[in-house]
Amino acid sequence: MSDDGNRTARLLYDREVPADILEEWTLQTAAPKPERTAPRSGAMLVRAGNEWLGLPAAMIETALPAGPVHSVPRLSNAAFLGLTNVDGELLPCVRLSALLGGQADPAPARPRMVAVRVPQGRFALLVDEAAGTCGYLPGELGALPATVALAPSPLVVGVIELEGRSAGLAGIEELGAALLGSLRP
Amino acid sequence: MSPDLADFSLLELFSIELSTHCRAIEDGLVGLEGDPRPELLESLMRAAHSIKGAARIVDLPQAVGLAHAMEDVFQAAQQEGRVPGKAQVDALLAANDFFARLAALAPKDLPQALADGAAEAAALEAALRALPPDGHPAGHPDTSQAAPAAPEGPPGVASAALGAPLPAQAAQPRAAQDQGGGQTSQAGPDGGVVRLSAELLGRLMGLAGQCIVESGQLGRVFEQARAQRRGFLDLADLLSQTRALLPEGDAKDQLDRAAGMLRTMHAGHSDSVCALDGLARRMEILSDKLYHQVLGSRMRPFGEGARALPRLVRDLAQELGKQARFVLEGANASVDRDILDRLEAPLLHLTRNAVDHGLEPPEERVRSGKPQQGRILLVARHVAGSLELRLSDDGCGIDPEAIRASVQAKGLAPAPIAQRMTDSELFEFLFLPGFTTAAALTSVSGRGVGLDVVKTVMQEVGGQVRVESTPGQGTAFVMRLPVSRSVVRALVVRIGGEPYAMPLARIGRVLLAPAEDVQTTGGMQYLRLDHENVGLAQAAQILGVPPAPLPGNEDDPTLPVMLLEDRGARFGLAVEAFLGERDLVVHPLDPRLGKVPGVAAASTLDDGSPVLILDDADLLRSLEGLLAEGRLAGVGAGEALAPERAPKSVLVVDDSLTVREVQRQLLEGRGYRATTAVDGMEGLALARMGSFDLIITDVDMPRMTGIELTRRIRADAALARTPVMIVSYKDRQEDRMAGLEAGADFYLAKSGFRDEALLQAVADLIGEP
Repeated sequence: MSDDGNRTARLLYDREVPADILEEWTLQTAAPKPERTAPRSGAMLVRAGNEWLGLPAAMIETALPAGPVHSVPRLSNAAFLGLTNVDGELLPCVRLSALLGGQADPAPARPRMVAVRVPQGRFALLVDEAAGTCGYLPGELGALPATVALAPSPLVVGVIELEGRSAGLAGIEELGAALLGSLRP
Repeated sequence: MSPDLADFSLLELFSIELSTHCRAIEDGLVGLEGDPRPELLESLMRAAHSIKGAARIVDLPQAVGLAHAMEDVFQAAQQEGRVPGKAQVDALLAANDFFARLAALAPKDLPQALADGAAEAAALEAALRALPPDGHPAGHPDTSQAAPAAPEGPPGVASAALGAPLPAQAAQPRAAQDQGGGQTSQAGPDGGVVRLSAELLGRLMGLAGQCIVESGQLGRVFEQARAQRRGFLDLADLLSQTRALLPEGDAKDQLDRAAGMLRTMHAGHSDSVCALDGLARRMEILSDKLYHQVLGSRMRPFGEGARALPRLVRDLAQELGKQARFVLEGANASVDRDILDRLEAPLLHLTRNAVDHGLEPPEERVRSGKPQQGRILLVARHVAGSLELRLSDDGCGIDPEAIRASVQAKGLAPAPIAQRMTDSELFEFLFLPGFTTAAALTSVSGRGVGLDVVKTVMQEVGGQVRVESTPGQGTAFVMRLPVSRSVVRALVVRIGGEPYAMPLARIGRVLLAPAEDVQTTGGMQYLRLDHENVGLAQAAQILGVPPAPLPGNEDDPTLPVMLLEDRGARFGLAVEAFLGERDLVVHPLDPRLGKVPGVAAASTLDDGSPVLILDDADLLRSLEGLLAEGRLAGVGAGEALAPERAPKSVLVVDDSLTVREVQRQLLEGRGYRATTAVDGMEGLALARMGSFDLIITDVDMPRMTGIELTRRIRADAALARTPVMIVSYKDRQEDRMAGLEAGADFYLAKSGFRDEALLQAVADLIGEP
């Protein structure tokens, strides 16, 4: 790298912090923290078709822009799309909306490949949008609407309020079993 | 740290060191018999000395004593310029075996085991010390050993005869190599050994591979940045043209300042581009190195898996009064460590068989004009992404006619079928459990014992085994194993709009066939090639993927075709485009997918996108079946012919062409519609595609056995109610139970296989056609 570049970098990072910004951060840091009674759990909020789903943070490995998927002869179906490259490993790629039995977004603006680890191994979940990770209190987990709870293999174990949205929370075991099941023709 | 823990780790080190030195001593001693040079004693003495020193550190006096005795024998022999005699070698090997047994124990159990074995150690030590120095002068091999290989080849070959696989790997350098290898269990100066889980190693491989892809992207960014240079130059030109139009004054000065700034920016940009170029190159080199290092860490030289064989051949030959030498070629062929571990038992078994049943006694060999000493040759080589092992002996061979007679005598197949069986089909009977035990066949007696075990292991690792033999000249067992995670050079083609790769070595020829060379005869398509008609099939149909439209049928009427060859037969596989040759790192298919018909493995292309590697053997088998049944769709034609709704349809699954055809003709003669598949894998795929009223399957088949097929059919909701009948040579009670437990509706032994019996059973299960 040239000296010019280094100088520019130094100018950028060593510059004086404006007083108002300094004050704002000082206030924020000094403010009393809200008391937390229970440990918070994290979930990644993803969209599959018109449904929002929280994926427990414990199962998330990484979220990447959707890459090419290669179909697998005689096995690929609406849910199991094929193999995709996640950090150099070829993982089975499953479309979440098809797994949930809903409609896929025909042209999602920001599709994401979310690599997850479930007891059944690693999978790449294709979602129509990923809105980031946020926390929730496990105590706030709402009961499922009766219709969902009675469905044959509900992937959703409860309802949570995330970012002002009401979203289903996926169960790791339940999702894992459904993912593995989608690999069978 | 507690003293216990400290002791524990020292013991662990001792155990690792012990196993290394034991191996060196065994290789060295066996090697000495074939190549009696006293110089080789040096490394053996050092190994014994190291065991002694290490045993003293961990305070195991019995081991110190025994190792000391071994060292003394080596030292005495070396000082006298001779090699140890046969009795001494036997005593040394016995002592070494004692150490090898110790090394196999858990390190923490060592002190107790040595205390328990103190008497044995003392006896071994006494035996070593009591032996008279019965060696012989250097350079003159013991004639009673009668093992000189010299008459058969140059000295280099002779030195490789016993023990060491290659002249360059005689005892001493080999021990040194081991030290430097870094992959085997060493406690040498190279540092310790770390065990990694296979999963972690897989992920490291993936990440290293991705580094290559991403550093390739960096190179493209550099190209883009460099292309922007043009803009700077254009802007500078524009500025100087504008300047010429301006009158003298402020505007012109301003413009000069702008031109000056542009020059500075341009120079800065050039520097950045240069720096980026250097960085991209270094990243590319580094990630390439990283990748190959990680790739190599899974692989081990095949020779490590064959270490026990020279000794086995020596001991067994001695015991049986035969003379044999073991030669290993291709010790450096790399194999995945998991596969290597699984190979140990089958190799030991086949080698034992070769000495025991293959090689003749010396007198008989001389009578038939062969050298007195028999040769057992193990060749390992890579063939298109798989490892081929060929274990051959120059013994008496197996007579296929004798097997044919036995097959008929035992009623394993009706005479008309037995008469039509080819040699390779006959040799398959050797792998049946207990095939030869009751047979009165001297030439093959005992061959069958345990061969079914070899076959089972091969099937478990996804490999195959077959026998080649010429009576009187010898027998060879040829094993083909996958070398997971190895690199193959492959042709990438487009099928169904997606990339697939075929290993180059499996392709006979590649051509762009002009449309007029494609002919249709009797509903099947042929390619006119070298005055020969070659059957042509669409790759997409065989794989079962929706075909993409073929490239430009109007303006470029050529058809990309890969020619595959199999035992003299040629087939053309039409693809949609050739995309080029690549070196691909083979990733095993995700085991959760099960076996995918026609696909052997997966990989990634340069840009990181996935590609599937085709399984040519699989494709050929499916192709054979499709050609035989005329189910092939025309190349370029819209879709496969819909199978007509026929009377009652039966799927026949058997890997023997003869049996398959006989059953098909029988069934069709009675009026059923019969479809054939060559193994369980194809059977399952066909069963899922078509609707069959009955499935008849053999048990022993490559890739997927009939038992597994039955189980899979029962587990498939759509097929679970289709009756399955097993027809097998295996007629023991436990075989029947295994079949019925898997869910078969009927078990018919081929020994009781009469035309009527089969047809009656079919009629009982599904009624008349």
